[in-house]
Amino acid sequence: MSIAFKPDETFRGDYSYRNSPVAIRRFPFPFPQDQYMYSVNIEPHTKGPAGSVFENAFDIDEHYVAEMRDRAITLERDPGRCMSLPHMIDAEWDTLELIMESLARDYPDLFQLHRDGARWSWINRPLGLEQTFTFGDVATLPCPPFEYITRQCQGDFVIMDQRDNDLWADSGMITSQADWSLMFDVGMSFKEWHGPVPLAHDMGIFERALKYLLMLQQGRPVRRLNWTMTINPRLDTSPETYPEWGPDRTTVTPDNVGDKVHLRVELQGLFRLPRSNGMLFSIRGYLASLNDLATHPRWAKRLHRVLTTLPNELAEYKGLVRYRQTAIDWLAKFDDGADLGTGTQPE
Amino acid sequence: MSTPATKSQPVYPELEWDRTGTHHILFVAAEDAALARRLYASPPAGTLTVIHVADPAAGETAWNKDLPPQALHLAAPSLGDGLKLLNDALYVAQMGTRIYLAGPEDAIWQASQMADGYGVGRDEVRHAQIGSKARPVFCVHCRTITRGVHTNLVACSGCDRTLFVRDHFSRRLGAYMGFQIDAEVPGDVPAAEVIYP
Repeated sequence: MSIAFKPDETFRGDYSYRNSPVAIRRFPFPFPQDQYMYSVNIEPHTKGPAGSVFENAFDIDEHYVAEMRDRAITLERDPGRCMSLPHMIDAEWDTLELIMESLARDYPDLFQLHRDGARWSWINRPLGLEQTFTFGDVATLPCPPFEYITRQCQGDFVIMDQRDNDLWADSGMITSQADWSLMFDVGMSFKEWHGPVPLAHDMGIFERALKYLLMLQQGRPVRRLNWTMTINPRLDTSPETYPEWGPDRTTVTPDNVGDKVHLRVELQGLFRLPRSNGMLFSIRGYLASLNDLATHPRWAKRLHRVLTTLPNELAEYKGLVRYRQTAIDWLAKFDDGADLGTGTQPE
Repeated sequence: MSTPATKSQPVYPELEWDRTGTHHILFVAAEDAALARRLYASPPAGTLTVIHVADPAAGETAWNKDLPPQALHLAAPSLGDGLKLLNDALYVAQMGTRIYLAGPEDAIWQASQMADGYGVGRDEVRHAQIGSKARPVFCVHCRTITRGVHTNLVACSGCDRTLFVRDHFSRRLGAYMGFQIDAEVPGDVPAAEVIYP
């Protein structure tokens, strides 16, 4: 499979990011029902249908090159978006191994890994990188192993350390987040880290999710979807830069809502790491404008209903309050009220 | 003990001696006569060092009055001096040492960070919030910590943005998160209210 990358598109400034029809078709639409509520919607991260975002362990798509450039810009502006506590070095190498092996296996025309004992050679064709290094020797890479490999893989990443029956967010590469701060949250326990999420704690969601994840086995990764909405196709919606993107929420009008308002879906993967017994948490984001989604009327209808019935606490937490009604009004014209049944499929 | 608004916000159970310890360091940065009397009435076995941050002009207080006979009382005229004494005590601390930190959150979490630096486990430190409820606030934009915040909105001492003080708390930073309240509509700032007396 070859991917036509769009190396020049941007996620800031003129926001030239666009989805091809193929990218829209494979968008991981997250709503199987007309109403959204939290659930522990975790399933095995097994190989999905060819071409789908679930096909591979780490999904690489047409936005890969541009997203990696946007990450580099964000790191240049704020190196604190990549942090790793000192005891995480084994987990960093575990992560590098998992991602390199997965990409080389799943995209052999794009990535190659040659292992000769501890001597490894890595080729990343889309970014034009070649690196020979000694596995386990930080001095043989241009930067620490976690930063090195996550500068080359789409999605945000957290490595959680497992100890005292809890998961601690002790490393992170976070440049495309839904408004949470790595600088603030690094080192937190599972429930502390998720502390600001409304309703879910009282529903026992994190209690059950933690219990489940503590038992996660190597070679049996799991996944779930999460979502929010973003104005403009912007990756860096961090608390740190909130003064830069916050005003965009006031710019949505009935004329531009289809272009400006994006559904932002996170495909979250969880992988047990072999040496450190840590856990890699991948947060792979996808952005689709309402115009994109409306090319599949079933999705437009579904999203119309989900936004209409979304509890206010969740709308507040996800930052939708200022433009939710404008989006609902725009989507209404697609919704004939037909029974959609269950499922996330586009048709 | 109140219910936290956010799961990251510390919960402070009533302070008790950890009698599995053989050495005890009590760091106090506020007055609480009832707590002092209760703790001193049944001191733990082993050594006890009390590091007491208090204005020297305050004279005798419950923390130095009825000190148990085996206890060593170290007076510190300021929080900075108290943290230095704690640092020295941690430097020479042996296995079996238990740490008790009582005071406003700003003081006890700075002390807690110091204990973390010496590799003291979470189980070996107990925290009690006494005295002022003022919050230390970490500006997520410029990373300055503004201390002694009594209101829900505060001007950041680093970048002067008006910050909203969240309930989200970082033990590592020893502070609550603050973010610019009027980022979406600049100038749209409600009146501040005193909520952390």
